[in-house]
Amino acid sequence: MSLQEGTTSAGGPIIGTHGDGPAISTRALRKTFRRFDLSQVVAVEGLDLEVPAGGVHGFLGPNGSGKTTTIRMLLGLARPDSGEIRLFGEPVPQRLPAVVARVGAIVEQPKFVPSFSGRRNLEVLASAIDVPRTRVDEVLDQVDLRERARDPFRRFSLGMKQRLAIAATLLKDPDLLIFDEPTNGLDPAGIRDVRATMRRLGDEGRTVLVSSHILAEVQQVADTVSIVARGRSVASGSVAELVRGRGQVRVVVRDVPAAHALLTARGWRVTREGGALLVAGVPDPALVNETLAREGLFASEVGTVRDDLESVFLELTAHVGTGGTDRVPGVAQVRP
Amino acid sequence: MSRLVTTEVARWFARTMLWLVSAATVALMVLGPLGAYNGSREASAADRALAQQQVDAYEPPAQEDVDACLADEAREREAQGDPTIEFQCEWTPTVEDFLPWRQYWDTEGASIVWGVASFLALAALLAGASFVAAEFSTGAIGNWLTFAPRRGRVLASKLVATVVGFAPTAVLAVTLLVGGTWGAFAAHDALHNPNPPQGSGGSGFTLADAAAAGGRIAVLGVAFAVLGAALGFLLRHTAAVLGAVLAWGVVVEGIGAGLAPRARPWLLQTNIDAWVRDGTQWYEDVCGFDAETGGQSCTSITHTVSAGHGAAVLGGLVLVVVVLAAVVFRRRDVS
Repeated sequence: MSLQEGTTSAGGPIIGTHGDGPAISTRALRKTFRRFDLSQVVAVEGLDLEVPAGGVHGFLGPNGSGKTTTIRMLLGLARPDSGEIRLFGEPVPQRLPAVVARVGAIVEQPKFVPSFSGRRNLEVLASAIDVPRTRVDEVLDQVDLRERARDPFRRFSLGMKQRLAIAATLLKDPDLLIFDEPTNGLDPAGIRDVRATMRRLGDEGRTVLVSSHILAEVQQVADTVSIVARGRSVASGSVAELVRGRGQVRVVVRDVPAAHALLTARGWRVTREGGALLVAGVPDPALVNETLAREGLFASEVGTVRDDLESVFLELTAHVGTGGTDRVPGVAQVRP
Repeated sequence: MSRLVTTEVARWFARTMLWLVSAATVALMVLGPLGAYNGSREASAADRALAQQQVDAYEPPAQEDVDACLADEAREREAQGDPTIEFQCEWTPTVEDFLPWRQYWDTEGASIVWGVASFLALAALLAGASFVAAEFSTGAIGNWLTFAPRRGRVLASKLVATVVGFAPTAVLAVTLLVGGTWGAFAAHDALHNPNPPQGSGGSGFTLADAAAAGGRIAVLGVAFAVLGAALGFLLRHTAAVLGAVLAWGVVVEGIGAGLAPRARPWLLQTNIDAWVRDGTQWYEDVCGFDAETGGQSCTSITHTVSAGHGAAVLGGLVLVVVVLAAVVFRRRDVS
């Protein structure tokens, strides 16, 4: 097992366990469904996805953008119409049995046998993969569920169900964890717990793919993200890279018309905001100051107004019309 | 594979619903011995007193009515050429005629044992369907497939677990039925009918016959549990399976059998009867123009369906549904 190093969004190291290739890759993945009236619905349309090994990867998209369908195809629960899927380099679904022991997943809501206790559900799963029962206790401890483990699953709160689902994924001690909307329906404390768990797993060197439409959440835990809309990938890269360069520079200057003309002449997009100017498309805020100073215009205030992932997401997905489009112009496909 | 089977068997025995179905099945079997116990007892003093009252209250018909009856009888004997025809014109009642009908093992035991076969099959089908369909309706099957992705093995392990899971219920139920019914008749010294009714076959149904029929009923139950499980894979909801079975019963076994009598050898009920009873019969009315009377006359033809035929049809049905379930389960997306 080799280690791969990179950088998290928070500046920390990514320690991957499969350095030579991505944990997940898809090429030209397509999936359609038939409605009862026999019309065809395209859920995933030519999706290219690459999830680097190690760290937390956000899989973002609006509702109905094909995230869950993609995850179900990754897990062999749904079969693609065409395209290619690889988990740790192995083609799926053909070689899924060879890699399934390295993959833990929660798809949509946690689904267990309602009449079984939490422990019983885990024991059943553990026996299928020949995991000793002591491992059940370990994972119950890891998700802080041991005291309630004898309760029937149907009596679990949503947060407890989610924690049990995470415990189930940990039974295999997996290299890749796939969480589909893991914080749906959770209270703030539950959301914080799940978020911390995902971050911890990522920091342990595992690969965590988390699909969500809650962007603030993903921005907090993810090292890299892929954004999909209408079944297509519209951007991917590290969170920092996606946000970088998409901020604006706010500058306050006494001669606003002259500064506006000067900065516009440099090819930047300039808008007025009260007595200030917002300059977009500037690679470095210092360039604005330097440009103004050369012409004798001195800024009393220069600052960066940085976009967050949410505004990037909204901008990117807003470009995708009905039926999907190719990548949004100007958005680089960034691979860490 | 054996690990999967072990897990599935554990899952079967951990399901409350399946315990309830098993308990209900066994409880249903107790009705046979209970009915036999009540039906085989000797008439009590109260029964005899009541019968005597009815004999005493009998008013014989007027002599001219008796004469008219005898004349009719004589005409019928002459017309049919059968001097044994008896109209019972001079019948007078005895106390025995008004006593409750007493059942005996060798004449009525068979119908009690055979009669439960369809109920056991239905319960087995429900158990098998519930075992599989519950996982689809709760979505647990998707979670399971992320641990055991080989769908062929998952299906096979669930079918094997169905056999292992339902077999104890079937064996216990049948043992209770056969042993209990025989014991109930024996308790009232009613194993042999001293006056078997004419034409009843006076079948001489033995304990060995009952044990053999019980064994066949148990096999039928297990086969239907597998059928139910396979239907669970196909339809994914227990209610859908029951709906389909009900629709089959009404449309094919009921209406279809009436519209196409010649299809009877291929109906489920006929073949269940054939398998359980070691052969059965069905009747076909063949009608045509009768030149003598100038009208239509019908003749009833008796056809026999062997136990082997029943086994082949039922086994074939289970096999076809299992293969269909395997194909569909391997290809269909799981939510």
